[in-house]
Amino acid sequence: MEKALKKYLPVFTFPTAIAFLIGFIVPFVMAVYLSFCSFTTVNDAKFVGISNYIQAIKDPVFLHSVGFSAIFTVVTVILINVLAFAVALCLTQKIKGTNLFRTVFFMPNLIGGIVLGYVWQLLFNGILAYFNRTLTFSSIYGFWGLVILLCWQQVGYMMILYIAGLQNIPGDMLEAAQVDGATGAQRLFKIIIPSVRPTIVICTFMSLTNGFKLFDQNLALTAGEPSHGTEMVALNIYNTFYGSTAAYRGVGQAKAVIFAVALALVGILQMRLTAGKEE
Amino acid sequence: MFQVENQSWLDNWGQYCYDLSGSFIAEHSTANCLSMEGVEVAAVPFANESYGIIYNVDLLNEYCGLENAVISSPEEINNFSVLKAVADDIQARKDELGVEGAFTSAGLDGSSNWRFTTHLANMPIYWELTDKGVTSATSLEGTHVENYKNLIDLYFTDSTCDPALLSGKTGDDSLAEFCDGMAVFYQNGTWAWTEDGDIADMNIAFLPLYTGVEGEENIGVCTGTGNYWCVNKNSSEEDIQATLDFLEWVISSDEGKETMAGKMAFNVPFDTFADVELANPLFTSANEYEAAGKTAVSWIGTESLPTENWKSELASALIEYSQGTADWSAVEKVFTEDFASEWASR
Repeated sequence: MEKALKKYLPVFTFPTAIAFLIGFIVPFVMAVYLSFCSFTTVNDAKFVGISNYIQAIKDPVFLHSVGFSAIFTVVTVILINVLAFAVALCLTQKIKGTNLFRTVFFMPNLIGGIVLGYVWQLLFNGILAYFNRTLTFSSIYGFWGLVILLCWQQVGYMMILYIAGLQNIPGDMLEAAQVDGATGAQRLFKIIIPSVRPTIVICTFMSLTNGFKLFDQNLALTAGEPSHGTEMVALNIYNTFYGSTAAYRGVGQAKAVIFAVALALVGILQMRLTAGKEE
Repeated sequence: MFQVENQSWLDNWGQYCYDLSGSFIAEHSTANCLSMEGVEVAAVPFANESYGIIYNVDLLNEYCGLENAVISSPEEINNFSVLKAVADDIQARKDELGVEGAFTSAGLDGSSNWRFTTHLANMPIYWELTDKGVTSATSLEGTHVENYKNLIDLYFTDSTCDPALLSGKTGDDSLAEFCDGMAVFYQNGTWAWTEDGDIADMNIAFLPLYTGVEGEENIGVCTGTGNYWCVNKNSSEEDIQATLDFLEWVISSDEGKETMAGKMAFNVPFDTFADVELANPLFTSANEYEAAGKTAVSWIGTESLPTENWKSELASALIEYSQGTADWSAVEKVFTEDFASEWASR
């Protein structure tokens, strides 16, 4: 058995390894290299050292977008996970139509971000029009608009993961607790939540990275208006790359590398913190 | 083959330009080709375009027939004060005329804000450069930003919707309002006309972009070209030759000409198109101004715009001005400070 495994190891890992190499390693290495260059087209780059990085961290709009993304991510991670867990709890009770509700709640996740952004823009502006305002009136409007949009889109998806986690809790454990006289709150905090900890780790990680990387919804809903007030990191990188002359492509690239490294660090930190007691 | 929009694009892409001098397309061009240091003909234009205020001729004539109308025929609009008088009067009597406003919504949403951040922005820069007798600039004094404000204010007040809602209005909204007869005036260019669009059934013509500058009675609409063909000099010799042959075919064969002038309804600036009739009534309207001895407004303003960033800064400033969260000085700053700093950072 072991021998066969060894023999076929390359056969099974090779395609994935190649895909990983072409789809991730090569672009990532190129991206890091280009962040030290000035370029118009990627295969015609000139090395300029760390000047792109200096310009990137001196850009006040970029720093604002980092702050905006960070606050946005904290708010959405909490809201999405609390709501998704609550909905999942409700839909694992013995009530009628749970399958229908699960499908309905999951569906927004199937719609692309750009479409969602425009649809919600129409909805929000339609309501705000009664007050003679639009989403761009202030960045507070845009912020909560984005929060509502992302929650609506992702709660259903995280709900499915939480449902899977909840269904894995052995029924007899809960029953035993009930027989022993545990209250609903005790069962929730002492049994259910500790049991779904692996799911919580995954869901917070996913909502964390999704929040930071948000792009389509940002572009379609507010496009960063008013005056970069709601511009998130990914959109800022895009605007830097395409909004100016070729000289700024390297700066956009440098921002992207800073962003990727920072996000990886935050992700690792989060995994460490939430998965701490898992073993 | 690749495309550039104007001279300033050659700063980035000129390093790839093959010298087109002596080629069929350069020999037969009737417009100004772009050149740069060391390259005699770097880019050849393939479509003339014009922009201004498009108006619904039938609706405006209907207005002229109303009692106490400010004008008795559309031709009387020859400067900003007449335009404003007419627009204000249409706005005040919109129910009588059966419209929702004089102008379509000046949508500041990303889908068409270039109508104001690129095209209308040509006017204040054009007038400032013309006053100074130059054709390009990397900094502005903003002497005519007040004129830009004149027309923007008119778009905002004499409109189908409240200015505070403009940031959510799209280019499609504006076109739909125009085609549905909800407004008389609509700022856009020759490209707004398409053979299979609702606009093809309408009776339309251009007004120049009057902004209240002395002597503006003598201008026509803004005419220029923002599309040039270039050939990549780093390609193999066979590929370059094949590209040149293809472009020759496009502007000389019946099929190529029919596609460019018929299907795409372009006004194509090559002498091989001399026998081709213009499908688009807006070109006819633009040409009438020139035939009447008016000077077409060149695109020196738009060609001087520093970056895409600058345009988004202007759009942001206009949005904040429209919803009342910033005053006009934000727009002035974009034309003066930001204009210079964007050029400096290039």
